[in-house]
Amino acid sequence: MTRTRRPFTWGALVVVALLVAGAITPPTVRGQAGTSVITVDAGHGLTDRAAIDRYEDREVATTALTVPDLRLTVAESHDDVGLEGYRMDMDKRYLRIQYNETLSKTIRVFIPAEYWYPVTSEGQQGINADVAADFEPTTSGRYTAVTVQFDGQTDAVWAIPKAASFVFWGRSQSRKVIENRTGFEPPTLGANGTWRYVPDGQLDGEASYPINVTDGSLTIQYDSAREGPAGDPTWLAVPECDGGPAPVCQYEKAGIDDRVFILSTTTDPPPVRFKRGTDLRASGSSIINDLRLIPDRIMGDLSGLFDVEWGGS
Amino acid sequence: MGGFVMVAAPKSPRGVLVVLGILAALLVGVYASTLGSIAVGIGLIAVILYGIYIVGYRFDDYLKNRL
Repeated sequence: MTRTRRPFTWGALVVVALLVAGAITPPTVRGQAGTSVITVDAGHGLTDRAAIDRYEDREVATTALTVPDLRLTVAESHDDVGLEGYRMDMDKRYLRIQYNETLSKTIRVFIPAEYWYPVTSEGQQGINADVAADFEPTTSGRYTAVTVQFDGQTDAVWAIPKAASFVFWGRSQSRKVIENRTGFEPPTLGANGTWRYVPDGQLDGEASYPINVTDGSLTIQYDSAREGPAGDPTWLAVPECDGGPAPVCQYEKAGIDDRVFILSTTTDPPPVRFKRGTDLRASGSSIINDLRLIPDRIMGDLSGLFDVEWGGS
Repeated sequence: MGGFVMVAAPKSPRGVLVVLGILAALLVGVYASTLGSIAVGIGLIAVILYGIYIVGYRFDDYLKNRL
């Protein structure tokens, strides 16, 4: 009697499954709760024409703010931003932010395109400090929005490669040429525009906050950094209000088509941000973050179950 | 009669993969917070399990025929 050959044996299955389980274990990320964002935006001296002219003359411009207490410097030489030693400056521009407060804050400032063409870069590490900054062009393309989370008094410098700035400039010009010649608007991964944030306190005490919807779509996310061991802000899509466990959810009211409401389901709501249009890049990151948090959620439920079963020992 | 549904344990590695896939999909369905996450999660599970099947099949073939 001939024996039909089975696809593969149990031993092979176990070996392969162990290999895959090891490969897909989610990485551990640094942990820290998210904070709301202080949007300085264009309200600082580097946006003044005089500061831009000074930068074109002397290749350095600086300004200071009192609230929040910080100093901004843009320069073409590392000496002007306090970096010591020998460095090649010909391919870089530098941004220095001196944050002089002891409180943890996330701050966003807009740097005009006259200093460098707006670039996109997430989690760019400072040269002289362990602090990361996100760079993102604004809607108008007039500024680079720089968002930094400070954990206390910090003096940090970031280098913006001229080549990156040139690439983004070239890409923008190519898009314009295609749009002008063909009328076709090439798709972009990120929605144009900067993130706006629900002001502090607006969602406290299980309150709701309205967001105007003028052009059809919105990308709305909340920072779930406190949920798992995640460290840097962990932005997740705000789900519909259907009784799920998310600390915030969104809903629409019958008869009101131009507004979406964010509802807090907890007394200590997380930071919430939103922008016009559908940001595919942010949505993709949100999905990846959501999937990475699943093992923690399962472990949280299991440990809660054992706590109840064994009297919280 | 109130019924107990008797579900047979999987008898082949392929059956185990299918059961694991169903369990993983259920967990994703319960613990993911948006429909997009659920869809991507289930897609990833399918791709991973299919990868395990293919690699396991070739590994088994190597053990049986070429070693």
